[in-house]
Amino acid sequence: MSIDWFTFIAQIINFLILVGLLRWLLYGPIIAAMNQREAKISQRWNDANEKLAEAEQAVASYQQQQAEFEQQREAMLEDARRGSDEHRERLTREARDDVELKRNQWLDGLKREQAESADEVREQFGEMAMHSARHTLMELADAELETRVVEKFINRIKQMDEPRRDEIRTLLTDDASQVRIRSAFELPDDVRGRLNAVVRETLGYQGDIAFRQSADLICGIQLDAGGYSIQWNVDDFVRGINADFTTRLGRDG
Amino acid sequence: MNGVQISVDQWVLWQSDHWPMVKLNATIVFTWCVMALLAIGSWWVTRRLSTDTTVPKFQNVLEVIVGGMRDQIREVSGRDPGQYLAFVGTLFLFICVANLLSIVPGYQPPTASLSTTAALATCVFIAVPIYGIAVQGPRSYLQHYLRPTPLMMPFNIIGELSRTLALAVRLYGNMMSGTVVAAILIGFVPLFVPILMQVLGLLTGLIQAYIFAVLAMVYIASATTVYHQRESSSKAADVETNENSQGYRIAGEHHE
Repeated sequence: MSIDWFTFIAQIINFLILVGLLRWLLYGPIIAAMNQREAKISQRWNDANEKLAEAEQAVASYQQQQAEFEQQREAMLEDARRGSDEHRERLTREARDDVELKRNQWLDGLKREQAESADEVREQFGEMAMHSARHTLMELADAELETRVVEKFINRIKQMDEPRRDEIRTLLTDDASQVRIRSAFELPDDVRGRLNAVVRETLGYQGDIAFRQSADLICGIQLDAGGYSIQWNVDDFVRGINADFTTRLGRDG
Repeated sequence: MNGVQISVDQWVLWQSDHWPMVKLNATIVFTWCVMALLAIGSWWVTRRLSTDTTVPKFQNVLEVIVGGMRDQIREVSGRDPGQYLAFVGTLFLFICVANLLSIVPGYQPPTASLSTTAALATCVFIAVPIYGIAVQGPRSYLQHYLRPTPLMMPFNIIGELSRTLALAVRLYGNMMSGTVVAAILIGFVPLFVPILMQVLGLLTGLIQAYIFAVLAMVYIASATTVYHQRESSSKAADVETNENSQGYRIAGEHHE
C-alpha cells in the first residue's frame, strides 16, 4: 500500500483531461439536447394549453350560443304558440260570428220568406176568398142578399152598446159632422129611407146622410160618424180568417 | 501481475531507461482505456442527437444518467448543478466505469490503486476551495476555517485533510479488497464462488462510485453553503439559527 507519485500525477492529469473530454463530448451536447427538448415540450405544452383554453372558450361560447338559441327557440315557440292560439281564437270567433251572421241572415231570410210566404198565402187566400166571395156573392147577388146585408147592418147599429151609442150621439151633436154611409152596391131609395130612419132613431142624427158607393167594401156597408165606423162586409170576415191563418203559420214556423 | 502483486501500480508495462520514475503501468493504461471508452462512447452517442420527443436508446441511457446526476447534485447542493456537473459527474462516471469493467477478464480497475484514488481525492481536495473561493471569494472562504472560533482552525484543516484521506482510502480499500478477496477465493474455491464475488464486486463498485461522487458534492456544497449562511445571518436572526443548524449538519457529514 504505497503511492506511486508518477502515477498519482498522471492520474490527476488523466482525470482533468477526462473532465474536459466529457464536458465537450457528453455533458454539453446532452444537456443542450435535453434543454431543447424541454423547450419544445414546453412550447407544445403551452400551445396545447392555449389550444385547450381556446377550445374551452369556444365550448363556452358555443354553449352560451346554444343556450341563447334555446332561449330564442323557446321564445319563438312561445310566440308562435301564442300567435297560433290567438289566430285560432280569432278564426274561431270569426267563424262563430260568420256562422251567427249566416244563421241570422238565414233566419232573417227564413222569416222574410216566411213573411213573404204568409203574405203571399194571405194575399192569395184573400184573393181566393175574395174571388170566392165575389163569385158567391155575384152568384147570390140579388135583392134579397143586399136586403139581408142591410138588415144585418141595421141590426148591428141597433145592437150597439149603450155607452158607445151615447158617445157617438154626443159627437154628432157637438160636432155636427155629417154621417156617411158607403156601400158596395147601389142602395135603393127605400133602403136609404130605412137607414135614415134607423140612424135618426138610434143615433139621434137629424141631418142628411151622404150615401156613396165604394168598391173597397165587398158586399158590405159602412157607416162613418164622428170618427166611428160601423160596418158589415165580407172583407172583415176574410181579414179575420187571414189573421188567424197568419197566427197559425207563425206559430208553426 | 501475480498473486503477490496487490496493486496494479506494480504491473509495469513500460519504464523509461533515463528516468526510471517515468513508467507506464497498468493503472495508467487501464485509465486510458476507461477514458477512451467514455470519450468514444460519448462521441458516438452524441454525434447525432435527437431533440425530438423520440430519442434513440443510447441517447436515452445517457440522458437518464446525466439527468440523474444533475438531480443528485441539485438535491445535495440545493442549487443549479451546471458548474458542478462536469467535475462530480466525471468522478462518478470514471469510478463507475472503472469498477464495472472489472468483470472483463484480465482487467484490473485503476481504482484498486491507491495512487488513483489519492489522485481523485486530491482533485476533490483542490476543487473544494476552488469552488468555495469562486462562489464567495477567498477572504470569506478562508474565514470559515476560523469558525466557530479561530482555535478551531487546526481542527478544520485536519478535517479537510482527513476527509480527503478517507475518500482515497475508502475507495481504494473497497476495490482492492474485492480484487484480493477474489484472488484468494480462486485459490480455495475456483468454481462458482468467484462469480458471486464478482457480482458483489460490481455492486460494491457502483456503490463506491456513488459514495465518492456524493461525498465530493457534499464537500463542495459545504464550502459554498457558508457563503449563504453568512449572507442570510445579516438578514434575520432566526433564519441564521436554522442555517447554522444546517451548517452543523453538513459539517457532521464532513467527518463521516
